[in-house]
Amino acid sequence: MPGLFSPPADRWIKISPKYVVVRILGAIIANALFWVPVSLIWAWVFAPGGGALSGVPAVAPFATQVQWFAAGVGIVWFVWRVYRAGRYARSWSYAERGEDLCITRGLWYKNLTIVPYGRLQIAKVDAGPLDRLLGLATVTLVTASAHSNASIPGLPAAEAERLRDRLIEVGDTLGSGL
Amino acid sequence: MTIPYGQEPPGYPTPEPPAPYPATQQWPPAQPPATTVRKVEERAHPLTPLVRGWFAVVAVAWAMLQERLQGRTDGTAGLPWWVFVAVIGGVAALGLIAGFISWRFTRFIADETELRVESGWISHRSRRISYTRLQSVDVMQPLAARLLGLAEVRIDAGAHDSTKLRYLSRRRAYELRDFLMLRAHGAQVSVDVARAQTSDPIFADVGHADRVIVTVAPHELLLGALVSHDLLSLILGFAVPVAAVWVVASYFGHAAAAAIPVVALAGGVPMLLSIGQYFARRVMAQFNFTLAETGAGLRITRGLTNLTSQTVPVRRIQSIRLSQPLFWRPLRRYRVDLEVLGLGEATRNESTSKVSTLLLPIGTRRQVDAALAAVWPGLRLDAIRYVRSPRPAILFDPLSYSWNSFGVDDDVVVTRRGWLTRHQSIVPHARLQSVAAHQGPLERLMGLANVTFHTTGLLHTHSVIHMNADLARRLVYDEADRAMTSRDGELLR
Repeated sequence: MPGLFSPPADRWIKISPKYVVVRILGAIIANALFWVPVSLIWAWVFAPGGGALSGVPAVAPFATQVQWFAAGVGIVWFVWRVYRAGRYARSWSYAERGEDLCITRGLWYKNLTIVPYGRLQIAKVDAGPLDRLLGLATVTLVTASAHSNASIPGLPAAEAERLRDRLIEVGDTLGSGL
Repeated sequence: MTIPYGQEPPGYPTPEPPAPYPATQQWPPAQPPATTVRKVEERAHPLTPLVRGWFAVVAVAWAMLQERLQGRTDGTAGLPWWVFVAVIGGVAALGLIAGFISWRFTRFIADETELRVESGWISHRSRRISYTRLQSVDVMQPLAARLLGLAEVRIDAGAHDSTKLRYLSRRRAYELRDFLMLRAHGAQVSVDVARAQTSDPIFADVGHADRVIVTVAPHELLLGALVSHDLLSLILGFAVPVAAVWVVASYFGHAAAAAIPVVALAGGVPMLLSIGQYFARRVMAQFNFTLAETGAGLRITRGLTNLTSQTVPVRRIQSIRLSQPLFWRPLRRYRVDLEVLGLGEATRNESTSKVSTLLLPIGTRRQVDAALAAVWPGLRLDAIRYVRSPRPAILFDPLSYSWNSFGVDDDVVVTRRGWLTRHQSIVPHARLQSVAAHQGPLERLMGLANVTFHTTGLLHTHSVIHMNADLARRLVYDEADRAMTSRDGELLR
């Protein structure tokens, strides 16, 4: 008996292993650009001696503790994300099965989405700056439903274009109106 | 600056008139020339500015009256009465002028293949709606418009905002609606042909050829409102805090305890008022709810002061959901919602006259069956066998375990879930957009999984929760196959 997330045909096609780099760099950049400044401002505002609120000690009695706790949680989460990036990237895979495309992803919360080609309205290829650096792209399948949420990140750019062209071609022949 | 009728403002490139069908010569002579569609070009009704300015006038007058009655000492109190009249008059004049300009520069043009709405004084705007893309056409009559015999036509074409033509005379609005719906079904008629099929009633919108399927009596609406969760939460939201304060205060022997019943009684008056308002709004919005089958699709007409009339082509319906709140269960009443692509502004709230997803606000099993039969005559809901979750799922859903289930037949997939309100979603395979299975860590331990069916609409409850994981795998792949092979032709027969 195949498991819920076993491949529908003979195998899943994995996305590029380089997607790990995108995940890790993305996590680092998000931290550097957002959380580090936020923490620094927080530390400055609530600094015990000589901070912005130094004259009003009662405003946040546990400010220092909260700050260290939040920083600890943030760092642990960051390290965990980087540590799991490889396995997360490997969890993404897709398969073309007859007349639909199957996408699976996730480690704890696993997800399997199937989009029949006939329901395809748009197939998009996006590549952010990090993606372009590594020659990757994301293919997104848009159906008439806002909840379909079917996209495959970390595809090699050539493969992404091949997949998009194939999706549009098959979608055209199988397309059914609304 | 006035511009002669039919001309564009200077500096704006005149759009080419749409080329006449070159195919007319090649068509077989069986196509009689009489079916050539006459181009219709019209403005909204001249009373439109009055209706549109009306709200501003009422708002200003009300605000000033309140100020006056409350005897505010600051600002306006010392002014003589004519200042108020002047301000209200000024607002009214401004509203009228703005309304007039917008009316003057708005035209709608119905030709061979599309409806165009041209509008805008300073920046010109042209919306084009192809007849083949029409999803639904609604006629709305707010009270102010209704008193003047006017109506708004609202056209949904799958985009997130609908095109509004306001205001036309009631008769013209119905004609245009019928014309658009006929065109949506591919008939080659002109606006004048639709006239013959249109009636001009004031309290309803039922033509001679229409078949009424369900009407909802006012006492049914009252019953539904009385045993709704909304009313209960309204009462509890008031009673629980008061009772809590009273209990705590008397426990500690606080002096305030004696005063609390008095305060509660005083607070009870606005409370009763808001309950009354709740009933009134709900009953007024759904008053005389009529579901009828017309040549152009299903027509839903409702409302006491504001008359709302929605027309939905049956083949545009993407899914249907039956709901049953807890207290409706012993009464055996149900509510039915439908999903249509393009009802982007539709609401699920039953207390407004806005376009809503309602197919039936409250109904008995027999009425529900009649409504379902009007949508999908081929649907055999009773013949579907439901599959429940395995025993361990009771840990996740102790209250809804016995209800959570799904059933599949050749045409539809039916899912059931929810405990406070029991939902039952019916999705034709042919209307499925995509399907997904998901599983969290705890569910994995117990061999359970969830399956969600995605449709185009606003209702997000088409899912089976905590079902057997192996079965879930079979269900998602089978459903994807059925989505491709199934056509809803049989369901509609």
